[in-house]
Amino acid sequence: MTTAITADTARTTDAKKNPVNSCCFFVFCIALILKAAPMGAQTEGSRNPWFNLKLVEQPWYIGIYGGYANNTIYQGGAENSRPGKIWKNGHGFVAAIPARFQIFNWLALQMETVFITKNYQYYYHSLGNKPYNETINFFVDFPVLINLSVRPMGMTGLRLFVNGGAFLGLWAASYERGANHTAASDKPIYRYAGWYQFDKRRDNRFEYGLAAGIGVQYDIRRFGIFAEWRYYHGLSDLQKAYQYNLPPQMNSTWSVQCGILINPGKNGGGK
Amino acid sequence: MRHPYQPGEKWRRKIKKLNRWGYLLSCVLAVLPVSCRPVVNLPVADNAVRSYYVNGGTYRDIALTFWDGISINYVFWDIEPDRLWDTMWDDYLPGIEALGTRDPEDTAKNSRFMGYLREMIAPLHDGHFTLSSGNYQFAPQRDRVRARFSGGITDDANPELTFSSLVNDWTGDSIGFPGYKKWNFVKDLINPRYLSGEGRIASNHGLRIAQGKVGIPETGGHITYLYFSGFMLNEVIKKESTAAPNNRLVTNLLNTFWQNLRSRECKGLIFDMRGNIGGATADIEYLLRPLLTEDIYFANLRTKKGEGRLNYTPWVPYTFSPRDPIPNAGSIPVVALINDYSISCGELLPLAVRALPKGYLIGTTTWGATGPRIGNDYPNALNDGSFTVRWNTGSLNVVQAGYQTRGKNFENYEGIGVEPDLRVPFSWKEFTNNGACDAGGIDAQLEAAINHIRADTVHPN
Repeated sequence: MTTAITADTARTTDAKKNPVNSCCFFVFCIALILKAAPMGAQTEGSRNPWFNLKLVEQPWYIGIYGGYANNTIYQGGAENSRPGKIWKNGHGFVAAIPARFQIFNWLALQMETVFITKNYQYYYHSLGNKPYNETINFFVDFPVLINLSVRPMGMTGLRLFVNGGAFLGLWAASYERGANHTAASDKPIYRYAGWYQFDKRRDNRFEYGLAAGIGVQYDIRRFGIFAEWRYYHGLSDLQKAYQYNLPPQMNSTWSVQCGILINPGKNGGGK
Repeated sequence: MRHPYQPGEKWRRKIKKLNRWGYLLSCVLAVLPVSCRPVVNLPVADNAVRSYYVNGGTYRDIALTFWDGISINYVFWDIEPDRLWDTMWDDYLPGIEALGTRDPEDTAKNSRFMGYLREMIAPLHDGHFTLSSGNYQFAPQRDRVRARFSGGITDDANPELTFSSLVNDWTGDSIGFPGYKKWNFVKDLINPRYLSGEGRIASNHGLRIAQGKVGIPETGGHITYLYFSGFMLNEVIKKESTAAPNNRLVTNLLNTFWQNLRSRECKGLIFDMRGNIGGATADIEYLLRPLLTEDIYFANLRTKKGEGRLNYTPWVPYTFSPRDPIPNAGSIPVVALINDYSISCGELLPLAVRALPKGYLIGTTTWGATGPRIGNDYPNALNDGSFTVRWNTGSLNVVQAGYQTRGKNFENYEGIGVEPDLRVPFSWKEFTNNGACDAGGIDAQLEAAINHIRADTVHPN
């Protein structure tokens, strides 16, 4: 985790941590994972044959999914330091190629290549919403997730699943559009749009964090059609530690996505 | 009899044990910092008056709020050395902490404290930057411009030509010659010696202004000249609008100026920006838009996007369009006279003149304060600019730019100044006619501008 360098620990960089807000969701997912695993382990003759320790034949799945992404830029409280300036979340998209290794019926390891935009925007409420800025950040993320699923009793083909894990990412590109004041009275507002030139003194282009999701999948023959809600909790600052008391900029992204998995080695059967 | 370890039994026992500890482990994970994020404490300004209020009763508390305020509002960090401001905090914190609790009656402590702040801000390049508190006022760029004058700046090394005399001559009350008042050189030299025509001198509402015609013997016609002390033309015109017509001194003079400029006999224009300390950017457009035949683009501006020092908005061009152009717009040479006391808009207008088809700068390097300030009509709305640090017995007032300005090709002038196209030093000996302070003196810079325009008139490019 990035923390700024400082000689003044009372005020600046070893900034106070905020465990409650950030940890709750992940505690829930971790507890769910740990609870689901032992709950699923049954001996012979159990009531639910889903939870067995039989290794899956033909475990590999490959697929594709896409959807909508919504991002907020976390700034450690600095986003509230200008009362007339409003920071808003940004709307974007996600597209990915997942690869899943199904270990048991209920347990899998999932690795993905995710193309996702993590956007944000601000506007000056006190100035009639101009200036404003929308930043569109293009990321390539590589989450590695543990996938736990359960088949509700009596529902053939349907499974509910949770994902939990971590990701590494690369901030590939950034595009900005917005408006800013000029000093000219006949053109007081200038609208701009263009690609952002990365500043190597400032920009940290490698991202990491935690990821978790919950969804539903319907299996038919060798295909699995799924829908998922996922959250990416960025833990790395998008900025290098170039100054004391630097407000962080970290991505908090949720997405809703749907897609399809295919097991190329599977023949017939849909369960 | 069932063997106690059926296939998979070992794993089933392990998983059952894990179930017991599962919840405990999840609680342990809850307190790990693995998913926690840092929080920063930044001062939040009072929205109405751009003020940060100090919590605490020590000099360190004031210094920290001041340091934070500069950190998040100063706009020129990208031209300063890396980590300059952090280094200043490290270097001066021990001395500031040693001062202890603040005491408004302890003048020695207060003086030491202000001395520390002065040294911290000394390297900053913002040409507008001024720190003031009570009787103290520090301006880093003033000190740098002062240093240009050590040893004199003219070829004849006139000892009267010091920084003080430059300041006094162009803005103050007297120069080294007793009784010689400010701006008298315009009235007593430039006006009678070089200018002709009606209504050439005016002064009203704090603005001093002079205009006139300079004849061109070779081809006939004239050069139009304009001097004004600050960019408050529109402000004074507005104030005079309610006065009787005979009392609209500046307005009437400007009307004569525009008549001279719009005449087809006008072969050139001289803006005298020497000693002009700037003001409203709208006056730049007021003067230049009638000279255009197409849009002019002469500089770039940007401001802060976020609270990090290097978090900037994209550049926006400084550009404006023609308005009510004069008959000879785009075809006549325009010269801006500049010197070390051409400040702010007094430097931006010359930058715009340079972008004109026949624009030219003559004189000496300007002050170096090209970044526009933000007025109080944007209280705390934007990410940058001036602010005040307040506590119950005093305050620190910081004046600084709210925007960066770079040239058309992103050249930086902040803390450096705009160089003339033709460097002509100022000679006091010539100007004051060896101390006589009469119309017998010579303004070498003005004569260089006149000769430049006359040469273009005789041999147009």
